[in-house]
Amino acid sequence: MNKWVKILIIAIVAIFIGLIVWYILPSRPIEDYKTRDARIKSITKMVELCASDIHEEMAIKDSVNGKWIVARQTIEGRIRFDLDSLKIEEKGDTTIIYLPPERVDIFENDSQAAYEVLDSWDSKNSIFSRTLTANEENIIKRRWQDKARKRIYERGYVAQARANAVNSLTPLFSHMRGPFGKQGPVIVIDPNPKGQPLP
Amino acid sequence: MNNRFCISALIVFLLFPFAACKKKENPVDLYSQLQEVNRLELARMTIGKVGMISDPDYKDAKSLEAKARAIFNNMKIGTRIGVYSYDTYYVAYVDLSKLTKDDIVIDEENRTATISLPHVEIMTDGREPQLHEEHSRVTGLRSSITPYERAALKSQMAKEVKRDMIKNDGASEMLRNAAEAKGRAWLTQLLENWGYIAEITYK
Repeated sequence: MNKWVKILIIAIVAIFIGLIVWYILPSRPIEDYKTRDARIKSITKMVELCASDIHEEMAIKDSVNGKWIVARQTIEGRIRFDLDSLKIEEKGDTTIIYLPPERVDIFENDSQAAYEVLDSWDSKNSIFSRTLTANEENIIKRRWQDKARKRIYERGYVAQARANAVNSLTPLFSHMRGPFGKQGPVIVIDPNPKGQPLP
Repeated sequence: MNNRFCISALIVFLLFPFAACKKKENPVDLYSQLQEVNRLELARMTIGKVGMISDPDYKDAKSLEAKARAIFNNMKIGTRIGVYSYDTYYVAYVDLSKLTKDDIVIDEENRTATISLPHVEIMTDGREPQLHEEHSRVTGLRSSITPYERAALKSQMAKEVKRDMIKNDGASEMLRNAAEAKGRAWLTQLLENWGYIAEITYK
């Protein structure tokens, strides 16, 4: 066979293999994605006492349907009390204020590097491996959000935040007028010092 | 007799200062009472952002590498598009620990309280951990969208949300106005309950 024909066949085969590899290989993240301008979805008025701020770095290793992910996430936790929903009771000349249930918010830090995927693989298929979908990744994130919330309770942050809230609110409401329009004793009671039981 | 008179006179003398006393309410120490509260959050804003993972267009490619990638991606068989969104939360608050004694003027005679609150501050509360898939279409011989790409998209979107917020003065103003109105209404009601007519301003 002619030497040039051989070279041509090898070149065609090489290009063909290159194209197959190009199709199969997952795309690399690009530097400039298309986005829309941020828009306001809602503005809500409220009166909330933020009794605790928690900042935590988490390492995530978890799987859904045999698809694994290892990631690093920075979370922001806050323990809040809604002062618009205070339950107030009047007994004789005494005013009793009950501390409302706490709300524990767990969000991702809003910085660029707050969520980083370190590894992701399919433990069931090594050749035709499946990719973790957005919904599966969200299931894992929700699971780790719940774990972080549980840890906040276990470490006693909620109990501490509730005690702080009672200490802050007691002087604030101490001059409330009682049922007869006179200033009487005001007591702030925490009906659940350890916080709400987790589902 | 003489002794009895002396004791009676002494009792009258000791009780004399209390004779002029009426039952009086304790004066309000509003300064330390409000300071104890520290951060009082008054309004929350939810900001939505949408981003798309797709093949870059040749006309949008800035670098030579991006241009080459755009050409090669167009040669591939199939479509590869994913549209994602997430929310970021902003909170407007007053830091009552910044109050000074001069900020509060109480007139016990006329039962009025004038309070100059610290200015409303805005902070990011964080963002939704989840990235919602609004639309996805991966066809032909194209590879699925990976968690790495979604994380990179979210990182870019986070940078842009901050930029958009700085650019959009109106958004911060709306949030600040909502917080000021709520703070004014809440404190006025609280002080009204204490028997004061309140005048609340912000620095």
